[in-house]
Amino acid sequence: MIAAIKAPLIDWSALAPFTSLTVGAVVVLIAGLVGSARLRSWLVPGLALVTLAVTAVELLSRWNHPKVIVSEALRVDNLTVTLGLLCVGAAAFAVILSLRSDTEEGVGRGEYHSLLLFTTIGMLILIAANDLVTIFVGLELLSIPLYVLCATELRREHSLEAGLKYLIVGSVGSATLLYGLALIYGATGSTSLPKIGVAISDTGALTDPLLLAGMALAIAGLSFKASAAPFHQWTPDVYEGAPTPVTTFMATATKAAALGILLRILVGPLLPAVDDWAPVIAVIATLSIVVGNFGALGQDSLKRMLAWSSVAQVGYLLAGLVVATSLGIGALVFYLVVYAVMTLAAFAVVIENERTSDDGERLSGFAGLGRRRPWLAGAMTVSMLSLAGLPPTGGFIGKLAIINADASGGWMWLAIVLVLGSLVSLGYYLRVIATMWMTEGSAEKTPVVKQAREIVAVALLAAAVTIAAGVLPSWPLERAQDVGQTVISSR
Amino acid sequence: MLNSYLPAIVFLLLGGVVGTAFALMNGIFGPKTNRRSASKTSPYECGLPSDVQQGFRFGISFYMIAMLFILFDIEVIFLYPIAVKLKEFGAFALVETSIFVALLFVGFGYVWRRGALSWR
Amino acid sequence: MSLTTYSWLVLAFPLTGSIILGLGHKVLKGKTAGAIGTSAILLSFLSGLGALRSLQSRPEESRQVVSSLWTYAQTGGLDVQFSILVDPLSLLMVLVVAGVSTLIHLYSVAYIASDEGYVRFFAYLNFFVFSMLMLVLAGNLILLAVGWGLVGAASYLLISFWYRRNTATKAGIKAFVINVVGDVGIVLGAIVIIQGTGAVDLLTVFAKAPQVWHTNDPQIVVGCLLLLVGAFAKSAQVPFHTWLPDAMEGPTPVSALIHAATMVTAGVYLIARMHPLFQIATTASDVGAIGGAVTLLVAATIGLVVTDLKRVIAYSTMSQIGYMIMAVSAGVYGAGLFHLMTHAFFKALLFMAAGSVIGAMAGEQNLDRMGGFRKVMPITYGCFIVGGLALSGIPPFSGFFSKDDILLGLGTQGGWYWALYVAGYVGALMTAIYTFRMIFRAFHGEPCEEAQSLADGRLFHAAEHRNPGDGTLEDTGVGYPGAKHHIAERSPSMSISMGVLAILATIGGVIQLPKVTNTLDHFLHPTFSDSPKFGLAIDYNLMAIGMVIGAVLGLLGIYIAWMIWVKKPGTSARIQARFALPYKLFSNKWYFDEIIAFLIVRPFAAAGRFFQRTVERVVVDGAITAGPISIARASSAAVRSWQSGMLRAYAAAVIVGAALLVLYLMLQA
Repeated sequence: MIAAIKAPLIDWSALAPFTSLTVGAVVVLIAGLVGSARLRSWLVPGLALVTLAVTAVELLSRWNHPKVIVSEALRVDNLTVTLGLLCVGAAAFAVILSLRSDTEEGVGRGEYHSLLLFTTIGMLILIAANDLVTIFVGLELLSIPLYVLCATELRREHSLEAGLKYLIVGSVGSATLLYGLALIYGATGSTSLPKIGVAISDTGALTDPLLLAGMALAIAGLSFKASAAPFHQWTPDVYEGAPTPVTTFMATATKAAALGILLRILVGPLLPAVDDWAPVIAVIATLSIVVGNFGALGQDSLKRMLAWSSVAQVGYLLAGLVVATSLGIGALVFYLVVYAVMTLAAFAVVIENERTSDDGERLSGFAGLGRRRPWLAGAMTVSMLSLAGLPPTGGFIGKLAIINADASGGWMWLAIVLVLGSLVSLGYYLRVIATMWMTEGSAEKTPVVKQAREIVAVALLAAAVTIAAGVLPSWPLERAQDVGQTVISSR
Repeated sequence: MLNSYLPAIVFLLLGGVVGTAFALMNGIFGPKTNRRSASKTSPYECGLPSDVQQGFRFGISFYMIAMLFILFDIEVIFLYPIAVKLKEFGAFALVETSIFVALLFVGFGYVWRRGALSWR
Repeated sequence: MSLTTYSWLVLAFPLTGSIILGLGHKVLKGKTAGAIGTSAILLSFLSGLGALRSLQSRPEESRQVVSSLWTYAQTGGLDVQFSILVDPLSLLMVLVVAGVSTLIHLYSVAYIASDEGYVRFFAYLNFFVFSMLMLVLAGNLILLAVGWGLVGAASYLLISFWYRRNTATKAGIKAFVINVVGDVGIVLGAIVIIQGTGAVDLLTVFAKAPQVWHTNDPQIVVGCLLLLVGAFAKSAQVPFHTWLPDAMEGPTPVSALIHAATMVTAGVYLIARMHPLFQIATTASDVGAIGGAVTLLVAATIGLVVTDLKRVIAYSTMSQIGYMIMAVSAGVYGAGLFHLMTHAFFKALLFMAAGSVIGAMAGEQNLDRMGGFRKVMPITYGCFIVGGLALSGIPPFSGFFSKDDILLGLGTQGGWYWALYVAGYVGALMTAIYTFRMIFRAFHGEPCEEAQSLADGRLFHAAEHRNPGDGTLEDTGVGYPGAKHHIAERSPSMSISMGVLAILATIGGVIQLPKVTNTLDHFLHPTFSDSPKFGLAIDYNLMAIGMVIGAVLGLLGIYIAWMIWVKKPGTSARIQARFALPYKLFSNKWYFDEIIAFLIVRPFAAAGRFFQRTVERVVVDGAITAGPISIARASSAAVRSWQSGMLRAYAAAVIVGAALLVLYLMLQA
């Protein structure tokens, strides 16, 4: 009977990360309906973590086994594996960080975790996309659950506002991208990325205004998701309003996914048009660096500050994309991973501080943290130093690699912008450090809430990885170069 | 190159002209009265006075059920393309459809269990 | 042990010390922290001596050794190793830094004793020494830039050590901001050099530089000018000097160590280290030499009128570093580094002695209120005299030989360097005057209240603790100076370190007596063997004339000071009235703060205000106040003023941005 089934060839092992996440998301959703609240409170996050762990293992097994699956809709290669692992990891940490938050009770734990998993599937599909239609499906699957996640703190007006804002502005961004993709299809007559590439290099369609307009709109739409200037304006409001674990997830995973697909399009089929798009990306990068860094100065809300800083960081990342060499892409991938890790550390500290004090999200809430909780303050310090690009942290190596790629790729002025931007960024990153260690908090503020060990552990782990990436960067840098090689050679 | 866009531009222009013309014709050909009566400014509803008052609220349950109905209704449409190509796919199509329907049932079960279908 | 092992130990000890102190700041009681900190630096110094012995036992042509601890990154176009370069130049710096640091640590054990932040102080101090040693030992440009940044951070921490003092934190931020500007110069300069030579490693860069660039190639000139920005910012040269006088807000040992003996000489070291590049970029070298000459004159004139004891010494430091920068920029490397060494001795000594006076004055630093300490503090007075004579260049004290060596080197080269030569001697006269003005005013004349009470056998303590800068009331808890003051000569650890420095300041000159002992030149030869200017034949007539002029000018300066401030008190007031305009110029520090505010801060602030008014009103408190930070704040307000929170504005921005992109690419087609 089974043998009689005439089925299309399906590479189950390459598809496994996607299927396991989907099954997991459904199971988690149903698990949110059974048993007592007490049972659910560990069963649901537990199942979500198991799902993510399984997915991570499946992804890892695909390292150095590139494969195109589902009628050439998805490409599972080293880039997919690396960024996919990053997103899966970010999701897992988001689950851990929200273990103690009382926020999801309002909406039910099942939905929260299920939506998180669905978003992760969207990211995976987006990163692996090998087709214009897949790109859009992935992007929407990524976005829609995120809109809801932003608004999960139903009782808090800011959370609802964040969700609504993200939904409306996000639709504009999605529409822009869709329009761009449609124009690219119109110009080249194909939705498959490799075929688009062939069409462009065959017909010399580089001067086709249709294609260029499509490219511009696609870049705009994806820059929106990556929150690069001038498409960044939703970022501070949404990052501040959304529940902090969700913000953490957005700041790390969403950026990785958006940059991943931008990389795949621009350095893939559109590589022949590099002279057209590189200046555009360079300008976006410069704007992001300037706007992000100046916006972050003088912010009293840590979440807003980190939002602005994430805009600047995207600028640094895009500076790696501009060169479009394996050197630049390797630097980008390395810095992307480091960025995710150090951001995770920062947000974990913010979450813990939010739990234990009234104004934990404000800068004033960090006063005297070094005295009260030196480990937490230490993790924050490492994160801030790394975001500022100071040694001996991964952020330093990452920036160095990007600057090196820029300088050797003929983008000297962009490297200079990057250095000057980092100079400005010291103004707000070091302010946090100074506040923690060199001012007194109100000493009598004894934490009413019990300290959350797992959150501190996440912060310390992320800080340790940040340091490790700065002290022994050879191995990760080489892996990042591998990824850069696969992207360049796969076109 | 831009010549190929000529039909589109003509279409846009025509559309604009026709739309504007219809909007303006009322004022030109209609009876000239300056009075703004209540029936003139209220929403047009088949010539009958409107029952719906401003600020009227639907019950949230109404929305829920309406939305869920549309959702499940539309999902069924996805079964049609399979019906067309059933011969070519054979048993695989059956398995695929069963999985799809099973997933729909999961969704249904979830909605039911969450109490979205009970009228409150 | 091998040379490289010794050199790595030089770095390892201070790092270990700072880590132990940093982690154990809650456990360490009493003076343990001081003992740990001091011995860490002492061990580092001893390792430096070991390295010296081992280096000298090698043949001269193999005295430049690169040792790599591990390969940091060797992929993706990056080839960075954690490597150090041990050669006579770096070793000289190691010995000066570690040696003086040991003495200053010893001094601090007592000086900072009653401060609540005792352990923290030594942790910072050890961290600083580590950073500084890393800077001088760095074997490649990346590590050099890292060390460069770390010393800036350490300096910031130590200036703001009393972090509840507003004036101290402000001074710290000012120093940090200006130093970061310098850091950016270093980083960009390094990028230019790496870009040009394709190498990171210093020796490789030096080897490739002459093949890549011809003389005065624009690229290397720009690179060297960027390096000079870094050097000038760190070494407090005009116009990047405004932070150094303010940095005197830090505890006195910090001023002695960082802002006199070690960190501020980093710029001198940098130019000497990069001499193969500066010799190609002659324009940049000339800029450096002129900058140094200008600084030495400007700082000396300000030193004549400042009334704050520590700030007089600070301006003197600026001025003396001006000599060094001028020397190394003009290719007079041996003399420049010789002066760096002797200056470290006598300037640290002067600061320590000043710390003693400030202790007796209960924190007061104003010269106007001091007087008559000669009798009650004989050792301090003696130290001041020794330091002062060395600073004024009176034979046979060390400063005499090193200063004249610099000017001799300039004179030997002739050409327009004669202008620098003259500037140097003018500066020397002023140096003698302001040095002895300071000494006479603090130690001679009528004993002040504090000196009286000391004569009666008790140390003066103010009834309430106040910030000497702005008079705010303070307690003695953490973040403020401790409750007790100390007089250096009554505490063994402080007087020992002062004594050692006094001896070194006196006899330090013998290391390089012209015609007799050319030890330093011989020692440094391996580093500078590639320089045509190194070891030029000396014109002995010029040397003799220069020495006589130097000695006479120094004595003349002291005599003038004696006449004005001791013999006929009140003369100074008459002079002030007579030369009101220059006096106003000098006492307002040549209006550098104001000029910077006018040229840079105000336009930015105005632009920021414009944005605020026109685009949207976002109230940012204090955004428009003076100071370098306000530039950033004002721009920040401008950026954030676009952030209205209105959804339609956001959507519109997305659309407009996308439209602009489309437009740009369409125009490309």
